[in-house]
Amino acid sequence: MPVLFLMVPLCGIFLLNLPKRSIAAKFASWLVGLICVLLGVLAATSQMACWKPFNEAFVLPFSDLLSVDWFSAVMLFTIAMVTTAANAVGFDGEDRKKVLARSLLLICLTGMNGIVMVRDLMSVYVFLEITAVSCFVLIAIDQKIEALGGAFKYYILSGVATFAILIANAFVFMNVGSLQFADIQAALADAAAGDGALDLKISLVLFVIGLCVKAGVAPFHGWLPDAHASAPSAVSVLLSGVVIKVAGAYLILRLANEVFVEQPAARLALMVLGAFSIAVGAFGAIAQHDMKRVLAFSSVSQMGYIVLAAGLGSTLALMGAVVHIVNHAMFKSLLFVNAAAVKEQTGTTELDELGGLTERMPMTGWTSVVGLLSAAGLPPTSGFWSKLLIIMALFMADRWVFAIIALGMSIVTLGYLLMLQRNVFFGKLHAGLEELREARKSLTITALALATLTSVVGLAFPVLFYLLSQMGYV
Amino acid sequence: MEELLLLVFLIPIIGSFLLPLVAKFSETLRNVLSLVFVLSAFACSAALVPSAMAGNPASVHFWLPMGFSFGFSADGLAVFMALIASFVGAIIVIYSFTYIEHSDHKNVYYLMVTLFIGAMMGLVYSTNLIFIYIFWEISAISCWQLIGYYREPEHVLRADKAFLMTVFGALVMLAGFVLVYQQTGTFDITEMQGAELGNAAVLLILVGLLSKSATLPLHTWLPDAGVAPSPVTSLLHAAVLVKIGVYAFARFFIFSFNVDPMWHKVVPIVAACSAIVSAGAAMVEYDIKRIIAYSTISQIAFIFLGLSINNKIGVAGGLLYIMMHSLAKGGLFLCAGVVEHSTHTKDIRQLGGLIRTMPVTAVAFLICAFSIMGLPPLGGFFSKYMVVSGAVFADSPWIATVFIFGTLMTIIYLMRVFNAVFLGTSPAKIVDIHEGSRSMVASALSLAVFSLIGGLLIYYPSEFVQTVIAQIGGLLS
Amino acid sequence: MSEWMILLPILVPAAGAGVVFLLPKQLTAIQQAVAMLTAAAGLAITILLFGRELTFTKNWVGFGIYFDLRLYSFSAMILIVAAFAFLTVLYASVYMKDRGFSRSFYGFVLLATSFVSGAMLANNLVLMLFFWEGLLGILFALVYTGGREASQTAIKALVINGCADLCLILGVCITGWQAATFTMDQISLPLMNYWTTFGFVMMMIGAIGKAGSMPFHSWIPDAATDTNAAFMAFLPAALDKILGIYFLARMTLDLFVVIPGSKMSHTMMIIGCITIIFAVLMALIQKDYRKLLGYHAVSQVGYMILGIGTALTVGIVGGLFHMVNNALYKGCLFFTAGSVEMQTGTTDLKVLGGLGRKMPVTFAGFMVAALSITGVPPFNGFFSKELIFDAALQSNVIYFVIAAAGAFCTAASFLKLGHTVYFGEAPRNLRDTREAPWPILVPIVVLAFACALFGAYNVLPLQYLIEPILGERLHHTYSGLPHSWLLPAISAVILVLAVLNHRYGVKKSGKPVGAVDHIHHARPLRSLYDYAEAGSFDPYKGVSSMLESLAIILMGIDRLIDWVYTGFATGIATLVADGIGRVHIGKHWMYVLWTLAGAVVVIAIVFGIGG
Repeated sequence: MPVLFLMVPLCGIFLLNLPKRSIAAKFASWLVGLICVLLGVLAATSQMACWKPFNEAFVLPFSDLLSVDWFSAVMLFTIAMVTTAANAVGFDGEDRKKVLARSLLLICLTGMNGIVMVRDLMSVYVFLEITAVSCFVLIAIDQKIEALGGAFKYYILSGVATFAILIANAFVFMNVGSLQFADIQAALADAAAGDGALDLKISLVLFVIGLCVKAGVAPFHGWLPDAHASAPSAVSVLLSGVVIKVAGAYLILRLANEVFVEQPAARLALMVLGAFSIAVGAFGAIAQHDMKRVLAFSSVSQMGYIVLAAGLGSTLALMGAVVHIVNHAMFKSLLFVNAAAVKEQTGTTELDELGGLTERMPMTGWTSVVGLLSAAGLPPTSGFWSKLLIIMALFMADRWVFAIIALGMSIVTLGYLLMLQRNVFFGKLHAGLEELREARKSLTITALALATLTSVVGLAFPVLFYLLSQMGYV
Repeated sequence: MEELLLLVFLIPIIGSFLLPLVAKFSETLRNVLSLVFVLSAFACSAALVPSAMAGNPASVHFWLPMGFSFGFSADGLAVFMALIASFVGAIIVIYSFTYIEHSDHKNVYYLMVTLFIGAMMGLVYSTNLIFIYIFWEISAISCWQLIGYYREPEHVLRADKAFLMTVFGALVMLAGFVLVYQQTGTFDITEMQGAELGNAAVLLILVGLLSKSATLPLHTWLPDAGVAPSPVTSLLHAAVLVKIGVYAFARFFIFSFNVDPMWHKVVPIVAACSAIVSAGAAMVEYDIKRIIAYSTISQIAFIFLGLSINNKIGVAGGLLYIMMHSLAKGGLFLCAGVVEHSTHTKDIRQLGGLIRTMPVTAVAFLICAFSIMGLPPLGGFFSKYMVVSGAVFADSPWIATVFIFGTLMTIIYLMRVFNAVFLGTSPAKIVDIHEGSRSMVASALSLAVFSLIGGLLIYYPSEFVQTVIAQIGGLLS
Repeated sequence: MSEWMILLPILVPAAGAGVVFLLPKQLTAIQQAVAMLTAAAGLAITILLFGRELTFTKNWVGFGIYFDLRLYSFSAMILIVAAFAFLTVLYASVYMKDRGFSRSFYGFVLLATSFVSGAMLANNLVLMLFFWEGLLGILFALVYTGGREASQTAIKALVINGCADLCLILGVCITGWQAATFTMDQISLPLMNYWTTFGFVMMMIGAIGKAGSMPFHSWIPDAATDTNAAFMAFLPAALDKILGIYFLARMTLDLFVVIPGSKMSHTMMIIGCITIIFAVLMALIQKDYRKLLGYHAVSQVGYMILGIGTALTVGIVGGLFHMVNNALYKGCLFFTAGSVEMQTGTTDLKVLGGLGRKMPVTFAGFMVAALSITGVPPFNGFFSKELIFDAALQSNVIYFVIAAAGAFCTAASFLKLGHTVYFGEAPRNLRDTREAPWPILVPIVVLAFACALFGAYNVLPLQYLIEPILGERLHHTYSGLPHSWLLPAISAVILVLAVLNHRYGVKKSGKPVGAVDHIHHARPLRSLYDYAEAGSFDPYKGVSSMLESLAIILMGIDRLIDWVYTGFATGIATLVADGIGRVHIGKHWMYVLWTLAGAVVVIAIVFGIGG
């Protein structure tokens, strides 16, 4: 069954690139949407017992390389969800570009799905590169100068990351003789601070650097604001919504807790970087004058929370980190979808040229309130719970300094999000926007769906919590 | 009983989101429904009184893993607060009907007001710190939307300021909650009855309470929130927002935890500073709503004094103060709203002589002001007296003296407002002023009358409060 | 007799007030009738209750605060209150006719009667406080509705009395704390420790503040001109003075053990003396009938405080007796002032004159009352003043000298007043002045008669009303003629001096109104008087401006705190944010450099800790 997560998008790419391009262009969005929804449903049900017979009956090639545990399932669902949103935002331009973009979207989807399912470092590297390459092109697809610049920076820093990860793989392979997660873990458990300590440390450092670049954690985040802000709207949704999480945060979580366990120094490094990132992202966002850049910096800050929790590594923290990944995917895509709507209706995302949009675009305005509350970690939205879990975990581990930073930066987060809200959606209608209309249906429906999801998860969290505990995950 | 306990907050909260939909069919229906939802909270709370008084409060509990829980309980304190908040809230909703008749975003208004009261209900009945925090923030969100209701840049900025300051406090308080959790392993208050609380946790929680209840040094958002429509300010000051902090104070530090005796000295001192500084500011301000807002800050300090002084008469006084202040301060703001609505100004320098044109409003204002000053036979007298005597009985007559001085300043600044707005001669600019609409004036007057009744029939609220205090057990000296 | 009866003096006037307020505005006559009937009923009830002992206790607020009333020899003084309420309502039925606000006046007079009765009957300190402070709002309303433009005076009255009342609250709290009970007849605190004394002082401030002593006096002269005569007559008898002095006496007698010659006793006496002398000096120079009386209203309080402050039995009897007497003659004097004002339209002494023949009844009433207040036998003022003089002399001769000086000035000012208004030739425009109608005259005559009666037959007030109050402390009666002849002799000398001074003054200035101008314009006094007239010595003004400065400072603190959030915190945040924003220059080499820096940090951490 896990193979489906790779095969279905690949089939999609095949269908999109059939000779009759005009037909493909017409149905591209529906096709990709359908694929995403299908994958989402698959992901959501993947941990259910009903799949077991299928998994056993149809042993496809590579099946033994892929596995889907509940963490992967959550990630797969998140990927599907955000890709749906990105697809709904869509691309403009001629048919060829539309089809091309959607094909790249599917490639990216395939890459990400691969990352979360494979269980060896080499495959991780391969899928990482698939994702990254598709993203470079997606960012630059409109061939605008800023977007090209953004893509270039992403490319350069990604290069650093690729280099680091590859070398790290080599060190691990030299040491352990295998790149399978299970093998590495077993070998490390045996060696337990034996001869390979130096090699191991070097590889750890390299992994931290590489993955942090991918995750956009400060100070490795330089590419992120430029790339996310200059990319086409749909790509921004995808990048900020899910790519940085899958390529960065997910891998950090997976490696730190399944592969390189018991490494306090690396954990501390992650926590320091996380806390630094929270602060840099939050303060960085204040100084921005562009809606999308504010949101991009916000991503830096939010990734900091995830990495901080991943570094801490207690059960509570891991739960918080996973939930925060999902939450961040929801609210950040929501906010970027709304940014897309603003851009589409007003032609700009400059804060100085906006104001009072809620009067004319009520759906966009009110859903972004939900998004901002979630981003700031305020109840009753889902963002509250993940932040609460992270902060609780920090307190329980007596990590006072980190706890205070995490808590204190929440208020800065709220501050810049309120600034955003005030300058874009509230206040009096900005001059020249009198003719403004609500955004198109696909955007508002996506925003509404994400907002609903955010609030429902927030409201129903105690119930989810209860169910999870019944299922033994907590 | 248990159903009522859930309905009491679910009806207004869920109902509030239906209001914009209802408005598509009929605006009147929306307004009436909003009132109905608020009144339903009042009715449910009233129905919970007998069991609360009998000492076996209705409660609902679902236990979740890791010390989380989903718990609600209707004990005397909760019912007391809920009754006051929903009652004053209902009057304010009636007042709103005409007040905001001609403004935009009425849907937002009714949604947020109803949600606000629903959140208040949820907050007072919750027995779980996390749920208290959630409702706390919901109230902050509605407050944020309501303060910026008119959407002028200035208003939105101040709404954000209020939001940021209260959320800041709430986050600090959340840290305190987590400390409590670390210490006790649970978030459920019923589980940690009588727990000894560390000073760090108390301090952190206190920051949250002070910011919500607008006490020095976290108070400056409250005067700025005066840009909100008058019924909203009335709601913030009288029924819900600032009362949340003092309620939570009572809930945590009197009814649940044991704290270091040091806090029985520190909190009164902080309160004393708050009372004096804000009273001084009220004597200087010229904006009628800012003056009354500073007055609230000053009066909240009295409530904190009563609740923190750790003896029964003080606590009883503090609780009665919540009630009397709600009635009177609500009335004051409604009167200020009538004035603002008719004259379109809030600057007391541009007002005057309105007692001739708006006699009922003037009398209602005066009665409410007298209640705030603590003049008998109005209710404010008893609460003020009991709070001050609580301080004296706790061996701190100096604190009591400071508060008496604060009361003197109260008299001066409230009479200053009354003098400037209603007495003297009206400036030439203000012409063709007439009394506010019937429902507005009636709401304001009814709060004044209830202040009076509350004083004349003090026996009943006092009896209620004494029963509530009797349920605490040994937590009070 | 049922214990419920004790509620009637409170409930009946309150109910009457309620009816008056609820009746439509137009039904003036009915309102008047209701007010009159209620006042009469109240009087009848108090007469019925007089001389009985009743108690009534109900649970009220809890915490030792009961609804506890006690009727005994002292609280029987509500008789005077009820009587004055009746006379005032009767007087007002004519006097208030064209003044507007007549409904409010009746209503608030009745309410005040109810509250004063309650305060005097209360046997629980908090209950007393309830009624006592309740008068504050009523006083405000009475002053406001009493005059057409009396709003400033009303606020002044409210703030000054409020200040005193707040002290009383504190005093009550502290006393209750020290005594561990609020029930008044169970409290008897010796002034041993610090806090008891503080409580006593606070309560004393409350009492003398209510009585209108200095420095809580300054609203009374203002009210005397701004409001109406009916109110001013009602005020000493049934509102402030009676209550303040009643409570002061009760404090010294029951609640605290005040030893004669103790510090507290001297404090009270000094306050009394200061009030006597400064108020009377101000009264001396007034050129307005009502304002002159207003200052005397303050001055007379000084005598009462002096008397009670001695803590000697003779002083307390004298003080209480003086309070009763003052109510009678001061009420009578204000009624005459109102009568004159009604008939002539003015109270300015410079235009009045020769009314003695035009208004004989008013004149006769004035004469009796004026002789009373100056202390001429056989009128009541003489006897009470002699008792106070006696007590003052026993305490310290200085007090006596000041009290005697006060008596001299009192006599001088009333000689001036009487001479100006009632003697001589009436000015042209007052030629047609006629006597006032009977509802105005009845109170004047009744009070004048009472002045004479209480003087000539002082056994009646002393042995039936006042001396029972002292109970065991009383060793012999003070009724009848003064026991020594020295003091009356000194008083006689003082009166003669006053007359001589008057003759000199009239001669010098040429007109009776200028009879004391030679004192007014004497060298050092003149500038002081000018300052006083300008209000420079008004503690209300001084304290108000001090409070205003304080408020500005406090506002500064408030703004400073606000700045910490709006200026400082946001400033820091913006600074940091700008710094971060500035390093995002959009150059890839910069970002690579950061990455390298980050790498260094990671290496440092990983190798630093693990290595």
